[in-house]
Amino acid sequence: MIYLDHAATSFPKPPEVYRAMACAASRYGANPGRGGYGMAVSTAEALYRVREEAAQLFGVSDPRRVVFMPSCTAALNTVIRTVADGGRVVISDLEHNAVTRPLYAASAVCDTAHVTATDDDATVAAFERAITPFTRAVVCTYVSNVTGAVLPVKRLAALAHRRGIPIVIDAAQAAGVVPIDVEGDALDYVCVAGHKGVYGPMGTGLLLCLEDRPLIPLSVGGTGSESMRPDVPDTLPERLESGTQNVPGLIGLGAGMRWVRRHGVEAIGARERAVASRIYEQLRATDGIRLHSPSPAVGTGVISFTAETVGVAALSDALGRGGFAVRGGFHCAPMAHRTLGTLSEGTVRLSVGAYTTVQEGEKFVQFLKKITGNPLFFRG
Amino acid sequence: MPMRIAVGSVSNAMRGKRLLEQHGIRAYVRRYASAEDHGCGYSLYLPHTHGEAIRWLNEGGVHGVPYEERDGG
Repeated sequence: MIYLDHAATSFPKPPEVYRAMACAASRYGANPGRGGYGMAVSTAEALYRVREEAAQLFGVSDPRRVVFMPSCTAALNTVIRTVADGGRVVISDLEHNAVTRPLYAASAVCDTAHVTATDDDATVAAFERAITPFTRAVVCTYVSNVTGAVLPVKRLAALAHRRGIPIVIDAAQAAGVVPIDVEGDALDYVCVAGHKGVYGPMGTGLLLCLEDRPLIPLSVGGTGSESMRPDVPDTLPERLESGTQNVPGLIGLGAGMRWVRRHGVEAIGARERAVASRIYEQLRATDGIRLHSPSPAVGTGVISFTAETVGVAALSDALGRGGFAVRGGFHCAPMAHRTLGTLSEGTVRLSVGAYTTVQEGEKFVQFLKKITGNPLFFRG
Repeated sequence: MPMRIAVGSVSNAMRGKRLLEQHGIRAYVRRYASAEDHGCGYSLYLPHTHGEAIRWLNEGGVHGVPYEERDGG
């Protein structure tokens, strides 16, 4: 199988991630932040090193503002519940359901700004028009999971702050692929998926906070400290981390982030864009293929496309049977498909990762040409 | 003379340990329980009292409170 579904989850992980998780399962078996004996403290210290790793990777000076979450979705739910509750927010027209559904659940009213993938000035201007005196926050993706388009979040953060409101970033597709500097770019809240571009395991995520503000926890319970209080502690990260942590997963995430830092986010992103650009150019030259992504040269390694002669479901299924792992459909982002004009059946999405080779890309394009050029392939 | 500093959460304790290490002070993370201080928590145990420790912790955003431990005597 040639794996081209890294936007869903990266695979394989670097070998050190698997090793770190296996080691953690046997070496760090105590509950961190609960006991005072040797293994409990050493486990807590191992988790703190993961916070430090994330703090260095994402530009957070105090590791206590790195909050462990079970997913990027949980991080987004946590922040949105506090900042958007029943109020107005501005979002982009490329948002994932991990943003729109929590906003819907919070009874928020959304004003939408159009993203022009090849013109940051136009995108910023669209957000500026959408923000009103009643807007409570800007909530937007950093990188579209459907098209790979990159939003100018640093400029959007500056805009939001000029209007006196915070910005919440869905960095599920961005972390590990494009640089993120929480403090340097003044990003109030950045929500990270642990299992994608930072090569941790599934079941891990991060909430990165510019400041220690009183977010409402999604769940409350034991935190291992201030146990006589009826409510959870006031401060991060414990306020948002009730219950026992996913120690092997988080230590695997730490190893993944260490691997990303060692190779460099810029270098990884550049390599992925180079591989994806080769695929993109070949698809652009293929009759009957319609591209819905900007060139990876200005985006990332995510490419959405459709074919004139065959539907999305049949095409993605045929690619799967041919040994190519891609995803077809709406990618949990119906809003983006409304924007792209692909609301009837979505798109086929391929997404490269750090390990994807040019040769794998060429095999994919050759196979795609072979099957879309042969109508008989899809009959019967 | 050892010094004990209550810091609340285990994250505060880890942060405090790092801050003191930056000043060349060795500290150990210990568990403590006190109903007067909201219940369970963590402290930093310094084998030797250091007059600047509390200030350095506060400057790094860790609120530390020195305390005496019952020694069972």
